[in-house]
Amino acid sequence: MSRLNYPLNCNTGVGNTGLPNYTINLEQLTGLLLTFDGFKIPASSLTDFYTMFAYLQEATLNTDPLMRIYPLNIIEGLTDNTAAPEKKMSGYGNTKGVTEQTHQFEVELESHGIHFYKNLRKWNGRKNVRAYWIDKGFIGGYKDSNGDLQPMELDIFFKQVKPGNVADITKYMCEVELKDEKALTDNLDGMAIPNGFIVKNEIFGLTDVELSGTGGVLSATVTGVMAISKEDFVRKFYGELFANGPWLVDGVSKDPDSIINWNVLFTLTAGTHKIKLASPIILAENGIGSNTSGGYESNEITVTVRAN
Amino acid sequence: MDAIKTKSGALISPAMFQKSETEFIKAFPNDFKQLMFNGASLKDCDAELKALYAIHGKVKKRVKKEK
Repeated sequence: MSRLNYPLNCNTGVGNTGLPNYTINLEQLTGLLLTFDGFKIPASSLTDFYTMFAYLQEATLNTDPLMRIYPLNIIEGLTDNTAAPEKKMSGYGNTKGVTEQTHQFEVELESHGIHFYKNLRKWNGRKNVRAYWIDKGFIGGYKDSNGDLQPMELDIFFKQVKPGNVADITKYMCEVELKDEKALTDNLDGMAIPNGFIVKNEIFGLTDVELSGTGGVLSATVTGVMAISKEDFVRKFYGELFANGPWLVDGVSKDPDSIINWNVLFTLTAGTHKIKLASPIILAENGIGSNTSGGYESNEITVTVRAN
Repeated sequence: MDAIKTKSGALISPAMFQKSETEFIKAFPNDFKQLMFNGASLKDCDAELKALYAIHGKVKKRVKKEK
């Protein structure tokens, strides 16, 4: 009897269809953890959800802005505008293949005021933007060949604000395009969020601090407010700012010499000096912000100090 | 850093008390002095600073002598 010489297991590579007992579902997008090309969660930090999340929290304070995580946990609506797959037809009208399109979403954001939204619009047109997808049930990206969890490649565009009227509230919308058409299917990987864990309460971005300064005779006086809310920053962290570490004068750590009524005094030599807050991570080490509650970053001011 | 706290709530670095009395008083700009002493005249502010220096500056000197 002759035998046909071909592999017997013809379905190799096809997905099996046994039903799982436990699943992770793609439910609702609740947030994005924005970052840039180059950021990734190393395989060594993917042992469990909490280790992974701690890595992300720490990255919110990263000194290098391009290696930082910028949480955007204010998504409250999504419209899927992804184009229908393109079918390739044979001459006789049979479907010969299907080409899927990149994901296109219109996302509605929680309102945090126009100044906050102005900050978000600084992302428009930025190259190399990446993001981890935060679903109700998981945080997702894709695994590279090293087993590291990479953020998804995307374009984000914060649209013109849509002012409200009698019937509608003001809407802040953005467009999100995932470059990989398989980002939410074949290439999706990530970690399930444990029950009861609320991502938006556990990870925050940096708040801008606006410093102002006046040079005097052998001294300079500095004040600081939160850039958007205008709350007094020095008042909020009065004791913490009077320490060794939170201030940089000409790039070197310097203690303030006095603080009164939210004015910080530095005694300095005559000449021009550059003053700013230390990096977010150094501030956090001094009790000013943290990787779980969000940190702070300031502008740099230049003051001219007179000899007499 | 253990700051010296004044009655008005101002914090002053101990390093400031290492200066001479004249330098110490001159180190505070006029508007800063007036914030420290609730808008008192500059003459009164200087007197207050002198009194402050007398307490904390002297302590430093005494400690040095004992050593």
